[in-house]
Amino acid sequence: MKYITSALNGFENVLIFKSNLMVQIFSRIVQVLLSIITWNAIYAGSNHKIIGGYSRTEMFGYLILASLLSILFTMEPVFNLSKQVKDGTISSWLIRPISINGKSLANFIGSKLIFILIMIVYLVVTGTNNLMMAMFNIVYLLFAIVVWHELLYLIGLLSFWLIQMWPLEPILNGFYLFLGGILFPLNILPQYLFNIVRFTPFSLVSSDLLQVVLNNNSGNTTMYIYIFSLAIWYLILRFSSIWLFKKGIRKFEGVGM
Amino acid sequence: MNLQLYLRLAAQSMKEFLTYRMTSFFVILFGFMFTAIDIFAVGIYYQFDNSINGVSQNDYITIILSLSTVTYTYLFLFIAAHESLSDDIIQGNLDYTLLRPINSFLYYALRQLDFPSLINLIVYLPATAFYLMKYHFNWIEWIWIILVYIVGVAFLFSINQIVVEFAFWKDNLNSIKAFPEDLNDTAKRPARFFPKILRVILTNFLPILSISNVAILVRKSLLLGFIPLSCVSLIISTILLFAISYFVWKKGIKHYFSAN
Repeated sequence: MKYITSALNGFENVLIFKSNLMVQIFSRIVQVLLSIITWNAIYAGSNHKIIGGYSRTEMFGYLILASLLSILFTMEPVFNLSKQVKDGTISSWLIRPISINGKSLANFIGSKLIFILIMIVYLVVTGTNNLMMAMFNIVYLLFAIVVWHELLYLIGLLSFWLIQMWPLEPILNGFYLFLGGILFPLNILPQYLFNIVRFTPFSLVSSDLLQVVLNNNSGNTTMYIYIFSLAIWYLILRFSSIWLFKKGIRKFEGVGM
Repeated sequence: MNLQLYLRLAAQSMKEFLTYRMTSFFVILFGFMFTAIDIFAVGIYYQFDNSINGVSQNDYITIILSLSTVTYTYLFLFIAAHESLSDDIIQGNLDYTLLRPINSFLYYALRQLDFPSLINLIVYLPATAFYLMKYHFNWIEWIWIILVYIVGVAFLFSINQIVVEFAFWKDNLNSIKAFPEDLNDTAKRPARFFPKILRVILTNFLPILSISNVAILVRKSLLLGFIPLSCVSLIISTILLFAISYFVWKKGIKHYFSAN
C-alpha cells in the first residue's frame, strides 16, 4: 500500500507540473525530427535503399520508437536520491518502515505510468498476430524499467561521496545516447563492437529491446539471451547498491533536516 | 562592472574550480564525450557514402567542431550564471546582486567563469582552426569567421538568458532549458540536410546554422561581393535577441519579490 502511495505521488507530480511534461515531449519530438532529417539525407544522397539492414521506413520507425523509449528511461532517480542525501531528508526515511529503493522505484514507475501504458498498448496492438510474443515483450519492458531504476539508484548512492551530482547527468545522457541506440541502431556498428556494446544496461533497455520488438520473431534465442543478461545485471546492481548504501549510511552525517 | 571587479570574480571562479575538483573533472569529461560521440556518429553515417547531399565527412566534422568551439566559449563565460539564476530567483537570493551599485544584468551574467569548459575550449579551438585551414580562406573570409565566432557566443548567451529569465514568472519550469540545447543539437547538422523552409528559418531568422555552418556559408550568397548574407542575419538576430533579453531582465526585476 505504501509503495502504491509513492507511485501515485509520482504520477500526481507529473500531472501538477504539466508544463515540464509538455516541454519534455516537445524536446523529444525535436530530437527525433533531427534524427529523421539526418537519415533522410543519408538515404536520399545514397545509392543504397537498404542501409545496415534497414530500409528508410524501417529506420524512421526505429528512431521514433527509440525516442519514445527515451522518455521512459530518464535520470530522475539519481537526482531525487542525491537531493535527499544533500538536504538530509533521507534521515526521516531511514526510520520509516519502507525501503528507500522500493519507494524510489514506485515513485519512478508512477511518474512514467502514462508512457508505460502507451508502450504496452503499442506492444499489444503490434503483437496481435502473436500474443505470446506481445506478453513476452511487455515483461521485457517492465523488467528493463526495474533494471534501469536499479542502475540509476546505484549511481545516486554516489551522492554520499560526491558533493555535486549534476555533472553525472550529461555523462549518463551521453552513454544513453550512444549505447541506447538513439542516434542509430547499434546493429549497424562493426560486428565486434556491436557484440561488446549490446550487453551494456543502456543497450539492453533500449536498442536491444527495440530489436526484439521490431523483429518480433518467436523462438528467437537472442530474446532469451537479452532477458538473461538483464537478470544478471539486476543481480549485480542490486547487490552493489545494498553494499554501497551500507557504506554510504556510515559516512552520512545527517546534516540538514 | 569594470576590469578590476571582473578579474576578482574570475579569481574566485578559479578557486571554486580547484575546490570542486571531482565535479570539474566530470564536467571536462562530458565536454569531450559528447563531441566524441557526435564525431563517431559521423563516421557511422559516412561508412556508406563519401558524400551526403554534397557534404563531405570533413565538412560535417568542421561543423561539429565549429559549434563546439562557440558553445564552450559561451559555457566558459556565462553558463555558471545561467545555471544558478532560476534557483536564486526562487530562493530570493537575487537581492545581493540587485543591491550593488552596478548594472545587475551585466554583473549577474559575468559574475562567474566555468573553468572546466575552458579546458575543453583549449582542445576544440585549435582543432577547429586546423579543420578550417583546409578550406584555404582568404583574409576577408577569416575576418568573417572570427566575427561569426564572437557574435555566435553572444547569440547563445542571449537565447539562454531569455530562457532562464522565464523563472521570474514561472517556477519549476526546468525543462524549458532544453530549448537552447535542442537548438544546439539542430546546429550540429549540415544546413543542406534540412528541408529548404527550415534551412531558411535556421540561417536567417533563428540563425543557429549560420554559426556551425560558417565554413560552408561564408562563401555563399554574398552581398556586394564580400558580405555573407548568413553573417548579416546572425548579427541582426543577435542584436535583437540581446535587446529582448535585457528588456525581459528589467521587467523580471520589477516582478521579483525578495524572500529576505
